[in-house]
Amino acid sequence: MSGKVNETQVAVIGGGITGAAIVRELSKFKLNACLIEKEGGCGFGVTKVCQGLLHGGIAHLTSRTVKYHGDIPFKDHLLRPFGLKEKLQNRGRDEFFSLAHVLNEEIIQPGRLVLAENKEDMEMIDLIKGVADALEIRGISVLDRKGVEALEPDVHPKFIGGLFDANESVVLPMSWAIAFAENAEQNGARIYKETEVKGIEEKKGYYLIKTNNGSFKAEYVVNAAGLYADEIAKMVDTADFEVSGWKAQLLVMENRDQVHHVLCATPRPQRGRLFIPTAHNSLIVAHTFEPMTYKEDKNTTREGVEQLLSWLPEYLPSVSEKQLISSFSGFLTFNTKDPNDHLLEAPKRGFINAVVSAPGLGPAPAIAREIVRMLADQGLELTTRSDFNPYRYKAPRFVDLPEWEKNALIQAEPRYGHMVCRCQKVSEQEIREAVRGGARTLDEIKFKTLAGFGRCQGGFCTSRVLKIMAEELNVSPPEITKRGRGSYILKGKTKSLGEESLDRAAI
Amino acid sequence: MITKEVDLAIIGAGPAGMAAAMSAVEAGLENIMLLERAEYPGGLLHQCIHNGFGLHYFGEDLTGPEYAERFINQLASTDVQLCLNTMVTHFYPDRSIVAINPEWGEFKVLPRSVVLAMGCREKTRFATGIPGSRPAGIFTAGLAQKLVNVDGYLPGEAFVILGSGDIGMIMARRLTLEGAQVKAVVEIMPHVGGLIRNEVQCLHDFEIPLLLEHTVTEIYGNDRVEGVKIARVDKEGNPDMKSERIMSCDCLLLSVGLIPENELSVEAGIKLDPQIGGPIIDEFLQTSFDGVFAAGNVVQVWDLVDNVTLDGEKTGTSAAKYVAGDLKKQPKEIRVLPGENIRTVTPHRIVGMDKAEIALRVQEPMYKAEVRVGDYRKKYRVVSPTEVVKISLESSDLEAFREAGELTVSCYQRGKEEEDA
Repeated sequence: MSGKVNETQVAVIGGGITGAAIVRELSKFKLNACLIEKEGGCGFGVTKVCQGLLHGGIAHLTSRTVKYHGDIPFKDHLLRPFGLKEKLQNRGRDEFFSLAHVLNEEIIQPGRLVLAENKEDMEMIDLIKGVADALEIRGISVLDRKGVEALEPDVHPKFIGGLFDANESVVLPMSWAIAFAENAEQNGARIYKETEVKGIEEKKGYYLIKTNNGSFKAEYVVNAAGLYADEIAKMVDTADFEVSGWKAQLLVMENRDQVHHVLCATPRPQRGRLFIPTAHNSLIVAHTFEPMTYKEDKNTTREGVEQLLSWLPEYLPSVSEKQLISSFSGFLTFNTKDPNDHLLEAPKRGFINAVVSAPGLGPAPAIAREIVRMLADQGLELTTRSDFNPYRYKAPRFVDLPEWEKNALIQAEPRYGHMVCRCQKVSEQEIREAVRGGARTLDEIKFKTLAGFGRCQGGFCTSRVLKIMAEELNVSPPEITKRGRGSYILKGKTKSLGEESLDRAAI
Repeated sequence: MITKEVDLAIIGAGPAGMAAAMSAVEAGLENIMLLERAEYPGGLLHQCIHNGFGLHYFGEDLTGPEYAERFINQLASTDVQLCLNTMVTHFYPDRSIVAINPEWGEFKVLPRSVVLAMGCREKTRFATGIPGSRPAGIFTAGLAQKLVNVDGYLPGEAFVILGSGDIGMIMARRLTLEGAQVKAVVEIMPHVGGLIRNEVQCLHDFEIPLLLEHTVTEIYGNDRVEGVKIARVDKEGNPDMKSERIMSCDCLLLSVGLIPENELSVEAGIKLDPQIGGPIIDEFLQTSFDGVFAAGNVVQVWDLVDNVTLDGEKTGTSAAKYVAGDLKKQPKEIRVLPGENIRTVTPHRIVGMDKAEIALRVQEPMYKAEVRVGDYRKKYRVVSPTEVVKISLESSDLEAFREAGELTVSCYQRGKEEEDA
């Protein structure tokens, strides 16, 4: 362990979407803040493997339906006024829209189509529509078969109608976590990657955080460690909760212009099936629902993948198994103290738990504001910085630009004209800019630029991207990892194996 | 936007595209543009530093780079406009092409004819549905080949190779020569996926274990691959979980098949053969669009580069004929159908009056085989699904089918029928 001690006013532990949003919020003020992340990049944990939905409107009601356990009459259960969690979700979602422009990140709003198979489904849909009206959720309409077909010609003919909610939106969560962190860094916050907290000591007036990368002396600590928030809380003896969750397996398919809206079945208690079109021609099939056995269980299983694939003919007969690009598994987390709400509290002076319960993506910007307010309550002085720059520079996604803009860029920098990733059409200069913006690992490049995201899964571009990264970072390609720590990609140069033993033999 | 008008635009400067360009030049076409996304022509031949190329076409045993070099040199002596670092981004039904390169920016090509020669890509881990974790250390065999042979880096030191396609077997040998350990080549089928000569020269000669009727059922490792689970499979290809065992390794290579790269064809609306994945073609290698031809692995994944070259040459000649208005079609076509023990057969239809060359792959290996089309017979000592069989039907052979409008290609075992008789 290195003996270096970093001094900071606020240390945020955990660079998921929550921690990254918090550190950006902090960077608006005249203070000294840092983010401590154990992985090789921000958003590499639960954020990376979340389905990317920013719920609005009807999703609150479908979520209430799925979670119904029969304790009160169903309609009353649906009609409950919005709680803090739902309000944070709504506020956060709105902020994503205003931030998309300044953080230079993508957000699409395809809307959600709830599909009805039979009369009972239509009754459920009418009920939900009634509740939506009562709760003043706007942008909701009931559709017949024709209406469904007009929106989604490829859905199974068995669906007789549906409900459309124009609010549902989709983002690529990890790239947003990266964006928040990068903008915070531009504004003076420090981001420490591959830095794992090993222990926290309470001292007089500060906390001493020990990591594999030196120690941090912090007046305030925000625990946004996601899945591991309980373990961080334990270090200061405030763990009266555990972080638990459900494991969810998801598929990524190629979307050949087949699905245009988020699709789901009519919600029923304990059932949720989602088909999510992304901004980049893929389709996410979500998700299985299994108990989480251990926190690093990111495995997919044969049964899980088969179950997800079996939904396709039932919903989208034109989508073939051959369109499968990738599968992954994520977590729907909750804290055991209040499984239905976020745990935002200050159990000790200067120590704040920011433990979110799924869904945690949408509310992140709103939670960040809430946490900063709580820090102020704890005594942190907040003076707005006049030189705060909300704009985060990121190379434009070249292929989506209009022709004149493409050609102007190529004239200024010919590397924009050199395509490196053929599936997602990413140029050499976009890779270089991503590195200059702070990306150090292959996965960060993948999520920032989309290189390696397509159907060939990096088969064509990996060797090219490694070369460009190595050039930018002035290192040799074997030093570059997939996502930090031991995730090396190349073992070494050819003819290097056995060199050590040869050297020994020579002696 | 810069606009270029050409007689022939060829997409892809691999062996198919280069051969198409050369034969189009020989057929008298003048204004030819060859579009290539890589920084050099030759396609994947550059990373295929092993020998065995050109045995049929040149009657010589060449390495991949040597084979490519011959065509590159030939091209250099012509007026073919070779655009490197050029990615074609769109291909439209009116045959127009949009491409991007550092020199011209985004530009448009208006060709009178087009040859599609985009080649193929490798299937990924997920196309095979292997569950487990997602660590670093999983590569397609072709990517590993580029890393080792072109870039000079080793992707690992202890390998398991899933699939016994040619690239997988060749990489098994290559990695062994590099001092790495190849623990096993695992193949789900009862026979290897690639050429027999590669099974012998790459695996047996180097004592690399070959596990037939086995598959990888799970991948282990958080940051980097630490091992894989291997199981025996039954006749339907389902793994027998009781036979599962763990094999430690730091790298898993996949050689599980190739897919013709047809995203541009699909964008334009060219009809594809759903089984093979390539465009539906006639004997001139013309697709469902007039004046658009397709050659090499973009049509079907060939066994030998020599065949890809021959395919490319055919399209160059056809394109030249098309531009000159000499590509004569019959009002009534003959559909070509796969029959007994035939997995794939191309072309899909015969539209002209002259002879037609037919390429087929059998379903099951067969000794003492005989390929039949009506009264046409051709005998083979052995046929295997891994090797393409070519037959040539004369105009007189085809006459019998013109009325019916279809013909069926079949493959039977000789001895068996003789015994029955």
